[in-house]
This record gives sequence, structure tokens and C-alpha cells, in this order.
Amino acid sequence: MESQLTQLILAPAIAGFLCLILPRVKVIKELIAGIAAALVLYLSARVWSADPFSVRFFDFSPAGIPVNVDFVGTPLSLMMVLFVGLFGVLGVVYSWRYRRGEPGNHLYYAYMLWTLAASDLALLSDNLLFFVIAWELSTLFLYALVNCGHRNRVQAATAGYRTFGILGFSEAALLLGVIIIWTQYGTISMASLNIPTVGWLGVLLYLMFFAASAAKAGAIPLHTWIPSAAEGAPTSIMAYLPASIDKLLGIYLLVRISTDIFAVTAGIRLMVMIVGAVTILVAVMLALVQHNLKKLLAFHAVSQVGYMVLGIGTGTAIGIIGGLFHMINNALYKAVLFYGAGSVETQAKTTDLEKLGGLAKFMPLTFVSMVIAALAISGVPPLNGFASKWMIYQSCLEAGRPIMLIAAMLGSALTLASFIKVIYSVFLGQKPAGLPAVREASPAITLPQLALAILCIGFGVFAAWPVRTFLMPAIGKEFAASVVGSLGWGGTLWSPSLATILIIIGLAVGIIFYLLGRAFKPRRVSAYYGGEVLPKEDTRIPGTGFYGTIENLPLLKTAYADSEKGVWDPDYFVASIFNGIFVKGLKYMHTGVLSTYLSWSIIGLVVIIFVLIV
Amino acid sequence: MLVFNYLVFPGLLFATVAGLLTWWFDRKVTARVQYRVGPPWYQCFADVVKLLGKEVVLPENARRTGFLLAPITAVAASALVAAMLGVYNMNYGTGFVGDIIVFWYLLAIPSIMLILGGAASGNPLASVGSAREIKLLLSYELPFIIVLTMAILKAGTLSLGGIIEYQVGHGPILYSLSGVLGFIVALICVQAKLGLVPFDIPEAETELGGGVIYDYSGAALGAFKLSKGILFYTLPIFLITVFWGGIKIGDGWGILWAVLKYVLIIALITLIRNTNPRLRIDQAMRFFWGKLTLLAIIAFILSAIGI
Repeated sequence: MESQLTQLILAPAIAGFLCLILPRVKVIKELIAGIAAALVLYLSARVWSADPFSVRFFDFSPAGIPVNVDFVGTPLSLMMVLFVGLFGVLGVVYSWRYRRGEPGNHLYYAYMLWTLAASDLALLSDNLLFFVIAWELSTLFLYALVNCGHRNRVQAATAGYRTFGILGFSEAALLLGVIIIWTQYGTISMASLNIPTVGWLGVLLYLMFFAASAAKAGAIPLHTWIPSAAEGAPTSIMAYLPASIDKLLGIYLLVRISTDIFAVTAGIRLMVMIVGAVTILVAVMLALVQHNLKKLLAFHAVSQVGYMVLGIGTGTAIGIIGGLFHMINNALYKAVLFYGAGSVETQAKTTDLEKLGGLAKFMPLTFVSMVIAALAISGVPPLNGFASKWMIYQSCLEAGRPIMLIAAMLGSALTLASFIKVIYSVFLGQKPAGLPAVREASPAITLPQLALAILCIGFGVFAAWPVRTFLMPAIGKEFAASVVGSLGWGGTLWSPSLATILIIIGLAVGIIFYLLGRAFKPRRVSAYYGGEVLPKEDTRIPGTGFYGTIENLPLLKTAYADSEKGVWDPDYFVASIFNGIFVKGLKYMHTGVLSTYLSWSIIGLVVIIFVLIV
Repeated sequence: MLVFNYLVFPGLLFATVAGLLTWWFDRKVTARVQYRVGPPWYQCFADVVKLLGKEVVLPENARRTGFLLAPITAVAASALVAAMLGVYNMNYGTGFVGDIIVFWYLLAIPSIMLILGGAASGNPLASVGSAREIKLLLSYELPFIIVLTMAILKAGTLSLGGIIEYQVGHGPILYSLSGVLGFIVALICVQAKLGLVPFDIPEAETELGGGVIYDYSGAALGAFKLSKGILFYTLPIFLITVFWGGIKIGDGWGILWAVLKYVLIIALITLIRNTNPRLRIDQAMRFFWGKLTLLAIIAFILSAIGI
């Protein structure tokens, strides 16, 4: 087991270095990245199928407190490792085509592989300190990857700062939390902790950890980095990190702190659930009025986190399974959506919904896969989004919080509305005159996309399979046993697969109906606009105006106007305080004189040596 | 057996016949109110058969597959709701936890298909219709979800079978102040789900010339009509099931009583449709998210304190 673990973490790390240092010959980086990612997936699968384990690499005791560097494979973390491997392969494969010919690809692939190594390290380490280090490494690579967006340099840089600012803040909280735990409880091994969240210290510690997980996953109010990143970062990275791997990490930490690192009280649970419900609603309301496809998808990446947080916050077995299932489903359909957005951007050279339209004719495969993903994210049965949301709804009621149920269901309706707008403005309607000639993206992009879309259907129609194979073992068989009853798979007339068969039969009947009506050979006629002969541009209705009515409703009008100015963003407040206190102080210290820096370093070194020796 | 349930009774065939007859009833009453003779009982069937004989035309901007697939998907989904609802009412035990959520989603599919079909036709009038339909969907879902949750909370179960059983034991949810309020809210939402006046905003014959179904003709239009017919039967039954004790098949009087409830609900729907002018979409949104949601919340609070 030790050798497998070492390989799992070292393979991508070394391959990343290779990408960096090998000569810039064609396809060599792509090849290395592909092989390394596939190797990681293979090793992850092996580790996942093995029994849970605990491996001690070494131990030491600074300042009298024993520190063991243990790698512990709990069922939960092993499942996460498996999916990190899967999304790693997907991300690399998609990048081959999407990033072809872009500058700085050696860095790009290196960061991608290092992200894999850092994520696996974070998921497997039992030692909180190592966990924090790996966690921060993954943030660092995220920052670097966001900056790889060469198409809009300035926005990418701004987004990078914002990402680093928010995640850095939350990680400072995490680190502080770990230090407090170390001093208060004398251990930083996750497995041996079970801190009750009573009293101010317990609650504070929980909040520190919660902030880190919420920021990584992107829950409100620490979400603003995702929409910012969407504007600048490469689309491949949006699908790779904020939509999948960062979600895995954030949700992993949330599950850990909600189930075993802390003994959570009902009050804390309620707080987590409120964060989830607010995230769902606020983010989806913001998504509704976006005019940029990538930014709109980013707000959905935030909104979907709300469901996971809500499900896990209930603390019931079905809620946690539903939350985890939703995390996997979200990564699947969000990847399809971001890939589609990337193809549209490559072809049409814009993601502004106002300037798009009528692309279905030219990009049929992209269109079909995006429609499936859009219906899945809205939770339309029998797709995968429905299966996981359905479990989360049940958990709300089981936890006795019907208000959360209302929020979650309304969130689904709003999500649907928002995606109707996307489908209409990008693919249906009419093609605007200014759009360049568009053709279908390369098979290297559409095939993985279609495969993922089919997985979206499969995970919905045969939802029992992923739930039993991956999720129920992940949270512990005894705990999960209570879920089986409330799932009710295979009830009369409705089990996802049976209902699908029935709907297909219904469609067959519909086709007979059409045959009777000779509907399959419709006559093409010129469009009819109430008898008027109109110039083509006059007959085009962009989808961006769909929700003008909602933007102008009383109350909402003010809220939207404020959010446009960024009044609701937390970094708006933080930045002003930060600028006043820290930046000016730091400016004073960072004079740019080398000798000053060196003397500080030497002072620091002396202090460290003094502490270690004495 | 399941396929029979789905295709014949109480699914596709039965629901279509019952729905089209209901639609005729609605048209006949409307005609009598307006001092017209009104259509004969088989008019709605004749309409569908006639549409089958007509040619399907496809406007030049339309996306063929989506345009043709939308109507039959709507029929397939609404027939599934009808079948499930009928089977649950015949045998309470067949439900499962969370089925009411399945109903909520399935009931939205016909609307989604109308929207996609309208959008796929590439006509500006249909686009406006689609935009209105989705906004209408958003508006009525909020109060609808709240009153559904109220019923769920009262019965203490997420399964429709459980809700019927609770009503068998404790009397229908409707027979309480909160129940009455919730029922009124749900009834108005059903009116909007059916796209009847005053909520026929997406079709708006007089201004959009049919809106979402502007470009539909022949068998495709017929399929949309069928789906609307099935919903005409399904939605009142859904209301009866959730708020009014369900349909008790057990004794002979049960069926009569159920038919009475059904006719009463249809009469109310027809009454609303004949006494109101069409709203603008922003008025409808303000109505649903404002007054009606407030009413739903009041019902919810009342039920929480047990009134």
C-alpha cells in the first residue's frame, strides 16, 4: 500500500516537472500529462478498491507534541481520490484540443498535474498540518492556472488576485484553527479528534474550518472568486477546478467537519443549512440576469454548491449521501456545460449571449449534450440531477426544516429558467448577422462531452448503482443502512429506470401518432410574421431580454442594482479594511531594498533555530 | 400490467378521453355563459382527428428535431403523471417516499416542452411566448411549492400515498382554515399551469397569435392539444388527491363523490376563466410572487400552528 500511495502522489508531481523542463517539442507535454493522468486514475482505482488503510510514513515530536505523518484511506477519502483521478483525466483530455497552440502550455500542464498531486495529498493525509499544506498548494496552483488565461490577460490577472485573496483569507482561518487545535487538544490527527461545538471555542473552530471548505467549494458569501475567475480563466480550467476538483476538496472537508472532526450541534447544523439555502437562491437569482455565458455558468457552479451544503448540513444519512451524489453529478454536467461554453467561445469568438444565437444548426452535438446537461442541472427527471436533489429534499424534511425544502425546490425552478435562457440565446432563435461562420467543435471535444452527457442520463436512470457502489460505503455501511428504506427504488410505476422505459413507450406512441399525421415529412415554409415582410435583423429576439420583467420587479430591482456595483461581495468590505490597515503597513515594510529583506530572513532563521534548539 | 396502466387505464388513453371530455365541458359551459349553443360532446376528439389529417409545416428557421420532439415528450410525461396518480389513488400502498417531488417535476415537463418547442420554431412571436411561459412557470411555482409543502408538513410524509392515508384518518386537509387557503392558492396555480385565462399570457391569441404554439400545425399541434387535455384531467385529480382526501374507489358512493369534487373544481376553473381578462406578464408575476405567495405563507403558518 505504501508504494502505491507514493506512486499516486509522486507520479503526477514528477510528470509535472517533466512537462516543465522537457524541450518544447510538439505534443510531448500533452502526452506526458495524458499518461500521468491516466496513471493517477489507475492507481486511484486500485487504492479505492482496496480496503481502508492507515500508513505511517514517519513521526516526530517538536515541542513535546507528537506529530505522526499518517496517510489514512477512509472510504470517504478514497472515493474522493477516485473521482479526482477521473476528473483529472477528463480535464487533461479536454485541454489537449482546447489549449492547442496557446502560449505557456508547459506551465499549464505542470500546474494541472501538481493540482492532482496536491489534492490527493490533502484527501489522504490524516495530519491536519499536512492537510493544510496540501490544501494551500492546490490553491496556489489554482491561482497559477487562472492566470494561464491568455485570451483576456487583464481579467485573468484580476480574477487570479481575487481568487487568491478569498481563498488565502479562508486558509489563514484554517491554519489558525489547526494551531488552536494543536495547542488546545494536543493532537492534529483528524482521526483522533471529535471536538464538541459547544462554547465559543468549539463554535469558532468549526467556523474557521467551515470558512475554508465554503470558500473552496464556493458557497456564499465566499463565492465571488468563481464568477470573477470565469471571466478570465481558461474555460478548461473552470471545468477542471471550480466545477470539479475544488468542489471535491471543499465538500470533503465539509463532510469531515460535519461528521467526525467535530461533534456538531443542531444550531451549527441549522447555520450550515441556512448557508446552503441562501447560496442556492442568491446565486441562481444572480445567474438569471447574467449576459455572459461563462459568468452565468459560474454562478450556477456556486448555486449548486448550495444543494450539497444543504444536504450535508442536515446531518442525516440521506442528506449526506445526497450531497455527495450531487457533488459528483454536478461535476459531470458542469463539465459538459463548460466544455460546451468553451467550444462556443472557440467557434464564435464570444460568450456574450446578446451576440449569439441559432448555433444548434451548426453545432448539433454540442447542442444536444448541452441540452441534456441543462435539463440535468435543473433536476428534470429522470436525469442525474434529479436523483440527488430528490434525496436532498427528503433530507430537509427528515431534519424537520420544510422552509429549506421550499428554497431548494424554488432554486430548481429558477435554475431551469436560467438554462432555458442559455439554450435559447446560444442555440435556438436566430443567428445574428455579425457572427462569424461557425462549425462543430472537433471530435476530441465533442466525444468526451457526449460521453459525459450519457453519464448524466445513466447516473439518473440507474441512480441506485452509483449510490450503492460509491456513496453508501463512503459514509459507512451502518450509517447508510437507514437510507435504503427512504430511497424506495423500484416502487410501483416509478423507479427512475422504469419511468424512463414508460416515457420511451410514450414517445413510441407519439411517433405512431406522428406517422398517422404524416408529421415526419413536414413541408418547409418561409417564416410568417403575422403577414409582415420584415428584414432579418428585426425578427431576431435575443434571449438576454427574457428576464427583464424580473429585474424590474419592486425590491428585486434595487437588489440587482446593488449587486451590479458589488455591494454584496464580501471582498468589497474586506478589501477596504485590508487596504487601510494591512496594505499600508506592508508597503512600509516592503521597501524593495534587498539588504532589509536579508536581515529579516536572518532574524527569522535565528528565531527558528533558537526555538528548535532550546 | 404497468404498461397497461400507463397506456390504457388510468394513463394515456383514459386520461386523454377524460381530459378531452372535461375540456368540452369547459367549452360548453363557457358557451352557455356567453349565450352560444356550444360544441357537441365529441368536438375535442374531432379537433384532434382533424389535426391529424392536416399537413405539418416547418418554418425555415425552425430546428426540426426539437420542434417535433417537444409535443410528444409533453404527452408522454403528462400520461405518466396521470398513470401514477390513478394507480396511487386505487392503492395507497404503491407510493414511495418523495413521490410528490416526482409529481412536481413531471408536471413541469409539459411547460418545459412548450417552451423548448416555441424556442425551436425560431419565430419572434413564439420566442416572446416562450419567455412568457418560463416567467409564468417561475411565478406560480413559488406559491405552489409553499402550499404543497404545507400539505406535506400536515401529513408528515413526503409520499402521496401517505398524504391520502393521513386524510383518510384525519379528514381531508381542505377542511381547515389553512387547508382552504392552501387549496385556493393551488387552484389558481393550476389555472396558470393549464394556461387558461387570465393566465393565457404565453399563448395570448389576440396579441401573439398563439405565442408558443404559433408555428405548430397538424399532428404536432394535435400532440400539444392532447397533452393539454391530459393535464386538464390530471391537475384537478392532483388537487383532489393532495387537498381533498383523494378518490375513494372502495365503495360505490366514493366514485360518485369523487366525480362531484372533480366537477366542482372544473366549474371553479371555468368560472375564473370566464370572469377575468388576461393579465400582463409583469402583473401576473407580481400577483403570484406578491399576493398569492403571501396567502400561501399565511396558510403555511396557520397550518404550522394547527389551524
